[in-house]
Amino acid sequence: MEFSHEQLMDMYKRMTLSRIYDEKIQKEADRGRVPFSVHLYTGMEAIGVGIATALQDGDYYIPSHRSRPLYLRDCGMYEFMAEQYGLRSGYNGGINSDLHIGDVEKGWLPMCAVLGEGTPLATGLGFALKKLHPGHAVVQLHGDGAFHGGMVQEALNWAPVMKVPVVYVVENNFISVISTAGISRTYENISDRAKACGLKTYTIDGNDILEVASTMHEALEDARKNNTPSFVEMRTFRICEHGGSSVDKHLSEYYDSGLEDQYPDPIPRFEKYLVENKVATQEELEQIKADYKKEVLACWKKVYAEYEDEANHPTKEDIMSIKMYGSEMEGLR
Amino acid sequence: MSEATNTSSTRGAITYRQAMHEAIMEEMTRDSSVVYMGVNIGLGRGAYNVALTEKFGDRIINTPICETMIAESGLGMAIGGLRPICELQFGEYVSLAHDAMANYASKIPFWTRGKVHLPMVLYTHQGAFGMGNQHGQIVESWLSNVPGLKIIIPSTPSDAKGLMKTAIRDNDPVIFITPSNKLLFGIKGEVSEDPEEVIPFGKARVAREGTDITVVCWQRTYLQTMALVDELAAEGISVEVIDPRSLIPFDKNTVIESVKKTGHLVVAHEAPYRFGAGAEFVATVAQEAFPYLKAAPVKVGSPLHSFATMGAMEHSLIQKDDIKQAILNCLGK
Repeated sequence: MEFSHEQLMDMYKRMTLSRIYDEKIQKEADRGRVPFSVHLYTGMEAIGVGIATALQDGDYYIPSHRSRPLYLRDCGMYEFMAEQYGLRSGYNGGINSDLHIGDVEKGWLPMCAVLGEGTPLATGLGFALKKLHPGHAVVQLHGDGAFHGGMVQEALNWAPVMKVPVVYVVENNFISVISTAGISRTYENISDRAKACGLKTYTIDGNDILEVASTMHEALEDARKNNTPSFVEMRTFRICEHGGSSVDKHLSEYYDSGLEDQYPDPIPRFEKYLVENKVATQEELEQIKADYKKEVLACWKKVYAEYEDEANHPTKEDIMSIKMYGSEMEGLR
Repeated sequence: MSEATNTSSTRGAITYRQAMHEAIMEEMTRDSSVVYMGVNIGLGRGAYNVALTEKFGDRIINTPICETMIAESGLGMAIGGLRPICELQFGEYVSLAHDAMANYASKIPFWTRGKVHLPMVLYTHQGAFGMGNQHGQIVESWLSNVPGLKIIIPSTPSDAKGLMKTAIRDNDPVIFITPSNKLLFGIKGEVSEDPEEVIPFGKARVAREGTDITVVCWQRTYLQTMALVDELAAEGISVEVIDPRSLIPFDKNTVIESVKKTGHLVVAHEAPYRFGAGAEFVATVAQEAFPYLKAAPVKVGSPLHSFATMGAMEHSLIQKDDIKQAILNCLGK
């Protein structure tokens, strides 16, 4: 698939912003200046960015456990970071952190912390879109750790029966928190199981942004036009820890496995492509990075200063005034 | 038996099953966003009927035997704008749907700060009826400690129809539990034929007025208590019978008003007697109507034990005599 200069640069900028943001958060987490656990996307940005490139208005997106920073730019860096720091000025008023950040009305669902939940949700949501808003699709992500759960299998099995416009994506980074893939499976291709359910499947290099974007464009078009559900296994490597950044000794096996060479960092790879194909010069790319570094730093300084003032945190009134029910009546509290 | 509150019908009594069928038919006719899904739905088994499929096409969804997926995908449908009724054939399957209700349905309103609510009815059946202790336990309390849900427990055909219609129109996740035991599901009562006649949530029903003691009971124990009241009247004890109809919303006022009059309270439920819903009624009355109590309230339920398949199940379930004894104890007789 051919991408325009603008599309290519947009992909690069999104990936770079995600990386620089994560690096800053990681550094501050190490310094004890992040109030909540962090789940970094470092090394896996090509997946989320490639998907974002292929989404259209009216599509829905259910993120994985670590693809959240991709929305930095869509909800605004300040609003995203303020949410991560639990400030009233955050995207969701500081009640969700980046964990359950979302905007359901825009089609961007909060991450499911009970891993695997997103898959049956996507199947049902796909059915609703087919009935009420044909021509739109759902993308749902989870990791290979969550893939083995029962509800994921139930939902994948049913999707071809229901012919739902859903693209199920597994970010296969070969690691479940701190356990390597061998504790979960003996087979090579995760996508084989989806194929057995009757889904159209793809197994791709998730660290190749162009392959991710092309595959997602194709799968989403097929979903939107033909209600064909598909399953994309995207292979990748998790550069950072599960949460935070201190290296757990159990991870040696993972880091020494050679996977990192098989699925190298997607950003330098894409830089090489952009320069070789004269989409941009290395100097231009360096400038983009330098600009984002400045922007992230300025944003962080502002957010952290605000965080240190309790007056910027949600009040009891903010929390307790949230309407838990859509049809109010006596006897609910 | 005929315990209907609505008397507009001229067609005579209908069964509980017919009442549920009517409620679902009428609401699906009224609102094209209502879909009905579950195992064997549309094949003429249980509460459902072949006619539903003929009339509503793909809004009747016969699913694989995957109760987790039924509930989770129902929530996905609700996000997409449908109003699903997800039926679980037996109450115990709420354990498979627990994640959907406790961890997702009830959390979306909070994450979205009250902007998004999920209208879904999780429709199931509870109560021992001879099919063993995995098809007959009382499950009403299994989910009643989760804020954000509504739990409806009708005891008569008329209430079941009127409350189910409200459940389908309600904007929140509703767990709707009818009694599955043969006695109740097969019983008849007069039921309104008016498709606009609904019964609002949150109003307990005074099934029989009395002056000496208030008995709160539902489903199995409702039948048992109603079978006792004449016998007790002959012994000079006037019993006021209250059927709460829902646990959430919790109508404490009707019970408190009754206790103000009688000064005595017994709560009887089929669920094991400890940590059941009865404790909430007793505690609420003790806290809010203590001065009116002439004796300590009594709660009575089934033993803290399991029950047998077939007729021997009765040995470890609450009996009519247990309720009578509780009434006599409370009255000091």
